[in-house]
Amino acid sequence: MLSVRELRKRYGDLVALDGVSFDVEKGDILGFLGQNGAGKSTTMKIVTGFTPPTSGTAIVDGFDVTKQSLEARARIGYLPEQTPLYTDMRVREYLDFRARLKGVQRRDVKKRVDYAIEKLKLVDRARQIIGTLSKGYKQRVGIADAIVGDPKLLILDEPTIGLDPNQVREVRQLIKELGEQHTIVFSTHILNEVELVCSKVVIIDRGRSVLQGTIKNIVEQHQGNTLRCSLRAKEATLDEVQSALAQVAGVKSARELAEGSGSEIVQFMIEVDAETDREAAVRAAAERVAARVLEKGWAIRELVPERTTLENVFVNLTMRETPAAPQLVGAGDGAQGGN
Amino acid sequence: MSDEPKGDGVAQAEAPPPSAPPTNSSADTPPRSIDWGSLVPQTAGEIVSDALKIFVFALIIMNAWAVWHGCDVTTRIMVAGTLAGLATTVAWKTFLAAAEAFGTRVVGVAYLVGGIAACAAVLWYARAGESVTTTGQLKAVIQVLGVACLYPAFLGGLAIARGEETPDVNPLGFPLTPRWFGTLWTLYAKEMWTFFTSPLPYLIAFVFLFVNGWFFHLLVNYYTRPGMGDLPKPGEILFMNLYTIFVLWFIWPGLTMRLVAEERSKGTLETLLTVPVTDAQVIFAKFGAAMSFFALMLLPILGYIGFMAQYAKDWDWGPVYASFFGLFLWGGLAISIGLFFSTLTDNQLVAFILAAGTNFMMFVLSQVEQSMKEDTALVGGVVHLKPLAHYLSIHVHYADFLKGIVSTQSLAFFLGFTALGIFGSVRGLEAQRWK
Repeated sequence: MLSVRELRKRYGDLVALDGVSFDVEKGDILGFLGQNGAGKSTTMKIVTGFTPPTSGTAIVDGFDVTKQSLEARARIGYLPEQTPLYTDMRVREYLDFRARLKGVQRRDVKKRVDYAIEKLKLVDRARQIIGTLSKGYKQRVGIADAIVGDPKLLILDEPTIGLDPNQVREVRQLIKELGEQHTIVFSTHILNEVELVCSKVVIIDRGRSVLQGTIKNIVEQHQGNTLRCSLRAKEATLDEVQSALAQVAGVKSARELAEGSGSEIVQFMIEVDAETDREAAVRAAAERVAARVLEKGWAIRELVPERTTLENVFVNLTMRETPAAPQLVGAGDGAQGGN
Repeated sequence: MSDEPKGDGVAQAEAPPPSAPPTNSSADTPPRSIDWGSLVPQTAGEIVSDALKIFVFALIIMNAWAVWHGCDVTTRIMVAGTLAGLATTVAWKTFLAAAEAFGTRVVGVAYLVGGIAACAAVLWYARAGESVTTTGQLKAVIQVLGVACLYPAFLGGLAIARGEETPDVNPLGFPLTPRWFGTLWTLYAKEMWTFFTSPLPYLIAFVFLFVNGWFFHLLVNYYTRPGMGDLPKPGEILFMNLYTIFVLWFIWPGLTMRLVAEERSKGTLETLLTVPVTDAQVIFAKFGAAMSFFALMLLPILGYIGFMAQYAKDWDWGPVYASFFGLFLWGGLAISIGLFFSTLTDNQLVAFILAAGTNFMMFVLSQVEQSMKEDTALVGGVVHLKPLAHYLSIHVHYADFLKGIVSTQSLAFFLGFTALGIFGSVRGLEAQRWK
């Protein structure tokens, strides 16, 4: 549906995009993640044909956005950031105008506008002037505009920004619903949103795509090989516990995390030596650690493998000084396997 | 992925930028020869589009020519201008076809060099003037070639500067299908709707009508006093009085300043240019709407004319028609220039000041021209300033219409500069995309 290859965009000396590549299959809901200023909006502007890229290609349903721009644009419904609207028009007038511009057949215009108005629950606001609507309703008009041409691909740039929590929830629900009929790409920097709504994510950092795949795969791929262990060791000193844990076969290191409530309880992060089969290695190490602790006569309070979340992955990738290029390959493979 | 032979080859024919690896080149290899067939228009739409191109280029070139030689648009200039327009169109289409085959930058360099060389030849002949024993026809041919190379040279320079991989889209080419006109009509209707639902155009129309009405009132008062004789020429009274003109300097920019600048500042340009419409459609619609509003604003003047026709002796309708037509043409020129400035900025005030300033400069030019000495010249006597200023002076051309004369040179002047303004607007809108 959408295939983006090595997009680069320079504004004078400023490099906004430095190699963004990703694919969106038909029916996907793709979360487009990145910090503010990472290049999310620029990528979307290029994909929708508003701005030409300095180099690279974006192909929408077989049409190149720079060379066959009109055909590509006819297949896209776009909600820009900040939701620009003609504030002096009425909702229905505006949608009617937009439907005609998007090439909806004249006899279908009313049907499409009615559909969009109903879908976005704008029925009782249809005659209101857009400028007098609240932010949430304006956002709905923007989304109604995006779907009124019945596009194959919906591109929504930060659709939930500036909305109150209830409205955010509504918009998310709506995106899920729309995902049944359209392929959707939407950008955000709220990670929670992505986990709730999307099937796939692309993470970009400083103008590069650093990761893409399904959420499940990405999280699994980035699962650490650490165990969190909290235990009660009555007479032992911290050093004793630490060296005991570090000596367990397969354990690389043990690091005290924090003192638990009451001086008896201590927490350790145990890093496991896992070269090949991470999952099995971690489990085996957990068994051995438990055995050692019991052998010493201490009590285990907790012994769990540390779970990575999408948020951890995102922070790890985007906080790094240099963008991690090799990750792209690994995660991409994982994503394809998962599908 | 792409089953379109166009385009993809170009990207790869390019010398690749250092970081881009030559990937997926297996699918299409660049066509290394020029597809000459693409130069011949195939469909009716293409024929009309090419004819329009020739017409617009010819108008622009004729003007440039007249300005260069410091004379009016003579028959010879019109013939040569049309030929140059044809040559430019061919050169342009060849440029696109060659760029498909060899890459924009390579062909751009060739055209830039060729264009500059040809222009140098023009300059040389102009300098040599009458002393060189070259036939007029040969000179004309060389000048035609020189002028024809200017636009491709510009395209080439642009391509080199931007480092684009694709040839420039054709800003004047449009398919002329019913769908194309349907979209144009939708855009135009929306622009008209905006004119009639915003307060500013009403205010502008009010000021215009008030000043005109007040002036007409004074006029009638003046001429109906005993012993004042007959009314003078109607065109000159109604259309050449400084009140009307002075007000129009500000009315035209007032109508045009909003057109693109507002869309840009509100961000709606982004929604507008991401639906399947071409930049040319947007500009034509905006220009057409502003012209329509201006035309409607002129209508009440008919009332004064009817009144005068009732009471004046020897009433002549010819100058009235011509004056109306002339004012309409002048409006087209001013509106296209105002629209051009509106595409350059997101600040309506800046657009207004630039456009009004241009109108004022044109007035100043026509005043300065009258006091200029015959032999004032620049560039070693090549460019004669007086005829140049004379040709560029709108008031001189407009005065013809007031007398009831619709001359081809004035028509060429107004239409040519209007075409230039619209062309610039399309380009200006396109440039907005790069910001």
